[in-house]
Amino acid sequence: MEYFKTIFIVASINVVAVIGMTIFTGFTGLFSFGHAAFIAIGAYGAAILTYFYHFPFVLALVLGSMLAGLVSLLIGYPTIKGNLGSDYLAVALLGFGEAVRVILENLKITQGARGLPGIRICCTVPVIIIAMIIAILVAKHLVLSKYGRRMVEVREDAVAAEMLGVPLFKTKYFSFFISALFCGLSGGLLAHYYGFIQPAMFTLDQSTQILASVVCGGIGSLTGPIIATYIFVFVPEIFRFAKLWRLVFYGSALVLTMIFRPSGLMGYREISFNSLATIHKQLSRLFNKIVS
Amino acid sequence: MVLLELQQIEKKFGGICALKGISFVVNKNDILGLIGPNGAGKTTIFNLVTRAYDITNGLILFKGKPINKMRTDQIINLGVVRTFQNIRLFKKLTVLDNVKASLYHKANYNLLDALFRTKNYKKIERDIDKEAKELLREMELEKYVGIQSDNLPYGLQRKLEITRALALAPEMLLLDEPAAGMNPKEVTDIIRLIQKIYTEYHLTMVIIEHHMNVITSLCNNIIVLNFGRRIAEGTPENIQKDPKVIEAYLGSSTQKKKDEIAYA
Repeated sequence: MEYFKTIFIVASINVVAVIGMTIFTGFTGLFSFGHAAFIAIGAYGAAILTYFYHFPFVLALVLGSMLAGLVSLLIGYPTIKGNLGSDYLAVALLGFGEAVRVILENLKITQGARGLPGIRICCTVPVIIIAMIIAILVAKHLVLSKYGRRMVEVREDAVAAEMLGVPLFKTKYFSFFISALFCGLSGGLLAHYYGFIQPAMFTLDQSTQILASVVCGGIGSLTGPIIATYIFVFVPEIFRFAKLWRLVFYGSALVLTMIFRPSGLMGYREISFNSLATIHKQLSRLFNKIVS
Repeated sequence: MVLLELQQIEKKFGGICALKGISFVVNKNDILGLIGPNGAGKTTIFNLVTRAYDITNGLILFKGKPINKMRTDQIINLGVVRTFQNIRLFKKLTVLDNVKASLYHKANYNLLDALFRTKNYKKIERDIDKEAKELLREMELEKYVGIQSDNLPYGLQRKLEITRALALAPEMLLLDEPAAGMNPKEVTDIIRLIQKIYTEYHLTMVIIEHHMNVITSLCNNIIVLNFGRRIAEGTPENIQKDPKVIEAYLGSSTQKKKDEIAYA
């Protein structure tokens, strides 16, 4: 039971980051290999506040994710204002991600590569569920408002969007900021779940993993990436006996998605009660056909 | 009343001079036709007016105000809207969402309204939905509301793009080859459509087109461009007889003979 609880919490912490990434990649259509940096900033920000300054947990979480948001505004201005093409932006952010990791390894307050041990452990199942629900609700309301629609328009055709009065830079910048906030929040939760953080936890692997969840889960969908995140955490656990071969799973999952479902598991669609009802209807119709 | 005025426009792409010394005015409720061979710089003029490109030299005035330093969304706010030569719909979105995309331009609720779904947010969202559906009904597209826009036939995609532009409530509409790639029947349909929206929405229009029947049946004034320069201006009848225009499109017979001699 404890084992499943652990897996669930780890997956749910990832979900919070993935939701942020969904807004940036799935809805705005921009790619990043550096969002682990925002997770790291959120984690260190929150952990330092509770560890050295004895801040209350929730306040530290909020401030940690605000810090990640602030950094995103600083790094986002030159990279997004520069109107880099999608792949160039991804590489620029990859550089940023690595830079943040190296900075964390060399700062005094983060205690370098040794990391911060003994952080208060406050992230329990109810806490993570509340955080996740807040994240999902915020994302859902955002996506269905004019802000989210603008992002979708930018993803679909930036030139046309601009000619309909969508402010390109503002929309991308805002989406980047929101994604950093979510990643920061996820980092704060992570730090207060493990009770220990070190720079080596926030590498390119982490960035790739959340990006993979979004791409496999489906561009332009919120529910798809959430499902994909759970799959990506649970399935490797099932195949624990396969040891390092599990890493091949990630690669092949990405390749298989690209070949068989280029728009991802749930591309441009959402799972809702309505869609479940139609699925049920179709299944029962099929069942009736077989019976008769 | 002068709506749009171009003064000595010049646009260079590196060493290539795409437009040079172009000046003209568009009066309110005019339909101006821009014609010329491929590469003459017609679309570049649209790109300069909506500031997709920066101007190299010259001045663009809309209602007397210079707009060549404004951002694209500010220019749209003033009421200048364009369509594209190659249709640029949001392909994966439904017909309704495409039209709504323009209406969100003036949705004035803030982030908190959106996050907490306040009354203000709900009212504006409802209004936008209603307005979009009304506009689609007027344009006889209401049958296709829920269809993904790239599943529409070509002619209707064109119509949808024009509808989407209209949703921005423009004063001036810049149409870039509205009849490109259409068969004769679709061309007559699009002419009728443009005439309809011209009278119903009190628009001023600039039309780029290669189909001469579109230009002659809609425009009261035509400007002919070639290699970035204006070579003629006038009514459809005058333009058709202008020797310079004929030369631009067909080449001059004497020049051709000289060339042949030179090659020999």
